[in-house]
Amino acid sequence: MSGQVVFGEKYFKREKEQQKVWRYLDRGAHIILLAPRRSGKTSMLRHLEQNPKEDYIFLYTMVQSCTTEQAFYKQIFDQLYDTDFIKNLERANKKGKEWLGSVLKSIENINIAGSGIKLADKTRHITHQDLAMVIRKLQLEKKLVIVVDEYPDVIESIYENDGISAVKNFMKNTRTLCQDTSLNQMVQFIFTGSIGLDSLANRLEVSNLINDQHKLSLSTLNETDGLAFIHFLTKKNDSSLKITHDVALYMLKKVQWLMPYYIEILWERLEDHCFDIENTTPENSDVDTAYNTLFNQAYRSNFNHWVERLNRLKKSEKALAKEFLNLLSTSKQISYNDYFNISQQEKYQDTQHGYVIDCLEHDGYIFETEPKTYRFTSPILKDWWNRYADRAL
Amino acid sequence: MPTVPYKNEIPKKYNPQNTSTAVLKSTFAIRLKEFKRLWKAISQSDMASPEQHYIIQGVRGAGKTTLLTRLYIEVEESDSLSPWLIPIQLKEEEYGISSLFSFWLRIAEDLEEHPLYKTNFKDLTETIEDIEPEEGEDAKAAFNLLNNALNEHQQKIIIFIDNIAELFDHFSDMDLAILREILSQKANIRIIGGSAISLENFYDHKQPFYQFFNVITLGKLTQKEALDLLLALAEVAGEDAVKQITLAIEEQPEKIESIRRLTGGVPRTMALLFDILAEGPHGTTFGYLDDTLDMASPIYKHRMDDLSKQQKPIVHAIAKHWDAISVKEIAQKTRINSKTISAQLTQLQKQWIIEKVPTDNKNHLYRIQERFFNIWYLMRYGRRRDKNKLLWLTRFIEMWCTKEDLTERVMQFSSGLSKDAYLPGTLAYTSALLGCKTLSINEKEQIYQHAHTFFEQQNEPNFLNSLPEIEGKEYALHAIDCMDNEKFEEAIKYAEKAISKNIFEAYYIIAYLYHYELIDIKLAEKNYLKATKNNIDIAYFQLASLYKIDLKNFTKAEQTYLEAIEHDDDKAHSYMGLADLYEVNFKNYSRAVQMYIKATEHGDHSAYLHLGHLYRDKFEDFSKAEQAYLKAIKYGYHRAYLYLGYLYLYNDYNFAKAEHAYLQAIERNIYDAYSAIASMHFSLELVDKKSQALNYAKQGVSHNEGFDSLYILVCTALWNNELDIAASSMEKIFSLDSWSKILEENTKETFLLLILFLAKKQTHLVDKWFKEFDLIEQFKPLHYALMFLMKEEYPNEYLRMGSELEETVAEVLAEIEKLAITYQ
Repeated sequence: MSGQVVFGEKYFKREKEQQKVWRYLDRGAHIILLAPRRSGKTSMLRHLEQNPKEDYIFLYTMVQSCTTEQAFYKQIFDQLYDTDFIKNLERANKKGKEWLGSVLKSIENINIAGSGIKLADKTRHITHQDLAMVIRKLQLEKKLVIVVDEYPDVIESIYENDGISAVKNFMKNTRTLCQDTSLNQMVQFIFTGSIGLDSLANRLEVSNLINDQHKLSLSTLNETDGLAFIHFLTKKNDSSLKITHDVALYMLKKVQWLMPYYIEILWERLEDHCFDIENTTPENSDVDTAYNTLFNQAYRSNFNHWVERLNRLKKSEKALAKEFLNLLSTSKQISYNDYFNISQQEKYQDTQHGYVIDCLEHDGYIFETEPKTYRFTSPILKDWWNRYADRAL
Repeated sequence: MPTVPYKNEIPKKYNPQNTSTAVLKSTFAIRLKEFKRLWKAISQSDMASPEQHYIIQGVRGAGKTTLLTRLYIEVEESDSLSPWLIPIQLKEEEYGISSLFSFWLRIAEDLEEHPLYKTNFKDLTETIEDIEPEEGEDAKAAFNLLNNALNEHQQKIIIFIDNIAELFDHFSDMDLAILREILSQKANIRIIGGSAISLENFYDHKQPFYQFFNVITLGKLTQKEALDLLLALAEVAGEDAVKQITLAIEEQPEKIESIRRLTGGVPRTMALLFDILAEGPHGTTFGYLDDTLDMASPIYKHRMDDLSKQQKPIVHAIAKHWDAISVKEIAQKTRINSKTISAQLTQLQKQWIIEKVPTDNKNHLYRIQERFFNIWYLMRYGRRRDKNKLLWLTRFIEMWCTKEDLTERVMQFSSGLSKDAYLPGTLAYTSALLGCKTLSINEKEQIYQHAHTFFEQQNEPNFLNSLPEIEGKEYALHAIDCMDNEKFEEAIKYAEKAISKNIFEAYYIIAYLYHYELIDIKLAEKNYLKATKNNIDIAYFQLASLYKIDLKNFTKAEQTYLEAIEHDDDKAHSYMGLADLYEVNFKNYSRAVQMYIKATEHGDHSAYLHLGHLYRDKFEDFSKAEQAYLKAIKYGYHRAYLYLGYLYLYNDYNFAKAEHAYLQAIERNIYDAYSAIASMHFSLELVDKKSQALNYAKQGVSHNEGFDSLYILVCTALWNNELDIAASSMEKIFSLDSWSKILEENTKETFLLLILFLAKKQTHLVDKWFKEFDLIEQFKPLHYALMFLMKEEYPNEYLRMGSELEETVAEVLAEIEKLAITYQ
């Protein structure tokens, strides 16, 4: 289904993208994975975690709830001592829970209890140095890849709570981990999240602190993969739908921006529709009906990530983005000059217009068709914007 | 928790989770599609990795709890699932859960009490309770303990949560972030929630949390689902009910449809109305209705309680109005400003309380979505002394009965009137029927007659006196209806009936009908006169208009206007009519001025606008004109700012004052002033204001896409070198309706536009338009000027020009060059 991260059989393999990640990892790079919301990045990362190449072992951690640097490292430690990672560890190393426990306990201030890791002295926090020490002591025969999901959220929280110098400290410490050459023989990081880390870093003027990490972006499916994906959906859901080649092509044409999520929500509506009319062999017109159903009140929540992302912008940034997208929604594409024109209004005097258009691009609202000319990524988004954006925002 | 059935149990309407397993299963007739979908998702997963979580949303009574409970039972009874998947159901009111920590604690308690597996979770609650309180950390620790216990016994849980949004609303942001991390990373737990609040309400602040739930909306029941539900209910109720319902479905399928409409497709309400339906179409009373409405009280009361302080008066106003109502009307009734109302209406739609009835303009109408709820509201909150205290019954009959039903009821009416009849009931029923909008006036006459005779025979003068007569007013209204439907003969017939009940306004209706519909001026005059004789004073004004416009008898018109002024309360419009007579027909401007002044004295301040125009154009007294416009402004006729602007610009050449006046007009939403101000900047060639001028012109067009506003937009866009805008606006001009007529009236302006394009070197565009719109003959010199400018492409065309045109063409070219410099 289209909401939750998918695993195992339900995961549609993105071979090229996966290869890309492995290539970078093989080169010893730390990765910033840039991908818009709902592009399937977490599913892909979890797939890599569960099906690693021979020489790797993954630690996946989601850090959204962390609002301080201390909480961030505590979270990584928690995940280290978590059953999921222990399973990975046992599979790969024959070293198990006890070994891990003994390593962790050797760090000053750390106790192990039934409910997990406990700090003996609550004022003494876990730091990046502690993490480095644990990694060294673990002496894994394989390379540890720490996946940090929703990483930009932590940066944003730290910025909001403790200001820019706290952010700089935090990011410097992460960089120290990334730049420690002997440590890098043992660990590599993948940073990702739904907010563009690079645009956030630009805004906070800390881009220099992520310069040595390789940026990698997740692209859309091509037509062949798109068709395969539709087939995959039918199989995965054990559905009786019979979608002909032509109709499948037509579906892709409707979606245009071939991110699996959008194909999937259209497929779901099509299946519902076919169920209703009791005909399992849809035609193009049924695809049209299903497409329109996407915008029914009942299914509009499919698009709330679009609202949510804009709502995270500052007020004036959001207004600018809205004005730009409104303009864009009335035409096929528009030039940067038009955008610049809007952004020069007095009300946007203090708005970082570069950041706004970066966000829109990163978050998958718009893409550049030719230099300095933009259009909506997907007709679905454009239609949604035209019909509901004003109400939703 | 589902239980063992006891005798004669019927499905619970409010607490389906307390219905016994057997009854719940046997009556589970709707939401099958959703059930199948969820069951497939649950049964086919071994939950080896984190699974999709779901939220079922829908209005109260839509069947969320029933569906959740049904799924719970299915999991519990499944041989393949129950050994490893433990279902847990949190009831609608889980008041104890205030944080993520207490949520895990509550789950642990449930596990510890589980009839089969309690030993697996022994002491879990106690261990969790021992965790030291610490924000976030304690919830994580609690989950770890729970998760370890589940891992140890290789068991997983699926939690069914009613009112999930309210539950999670108690959680802190940190709790939600942690829960999100757990739900997306841990495979041991799966959540299926229900929510009576549309989750869109939550998206603003808590959205990332809800994003990874898959939302299933339980909408209105389809027609087929409605039938299935009724049949399932009938089967539980017994053979008679089955017979009755089957009969109803066969003979009156439209009836089922009307129930669906009445209930807004909400299953719980349909279940409530089931008893009335089972009574059959031939019942003569609605004895059950009171009880049914009473039974509905818990659900509807709850629904009202759910509303915010601000929403309540809005819902009240809409419910009292019954028919769909506009924002403006709601604002009048509630004294809340329109903006707030609009915002609340959006919310109320999301909460499924209100539905929007779209109109072809922006002013949509709104009504209570579930009509039965509205009826309940009318009964509960209708004022006792209200003349329409039986309104709720009337509305119910209207909604409940099909047209055939009603006809039958009317036919059976007299036979139902027997000695045994319960008189107050008969009176109420008769009164309600007489109030029905869906009953024709003929039928009402019939009912009235029967009831009248009946009460007379019963020798019951009290009831006889309480029987509401069909009012003359109703005849008159019917006459107007007939007129609207162009049934003029019938209109006259009913107007005459109204007159027979001393509703003399009906003379006016007849007169109006002859005047404007049947165009029999003689009869119109005659009836207006009858109306005036019967003191229907509004007739004077129409009569005067008739003399002025139709009969051109200006003397009589004058005299009648004077009579209108004497008798009609609305003196202002008579003075206005009279002033117009003097101005247009007698050309007596001084008298016209006097009458306009009189009109202002009687409250029609729009007369100041006429006064301003008269002073300006006929007396050329600009100072008096200015005074009049200022007066108009004082009384809210803000268009006068625009006229003031013209006055300052063209008569005083005072640009600053003109601009000020235009800006004032703009501030008061007189949108033509945008174009006026742009036009002023353009014609005065105020270079430093050229982009401002373009903006004004754009604003002007955004409010009115007519020739004048588009014209100035093209001018200012070209001035600003915004060629895209200029070209597209020009295309818009060409595509205006009745373009050829516009061209005829605006040849000079069009010419200027075309040479402006040429001044901006846009020869290809102009060339294209010349061909596309066949302009060559109309603008011959310009055509040759164009050919001259395009002589590289059309080397021979220019040479065809006759010598008589040479000079003119040269002038055109010179003008183009001049413009190019002026507006560079």
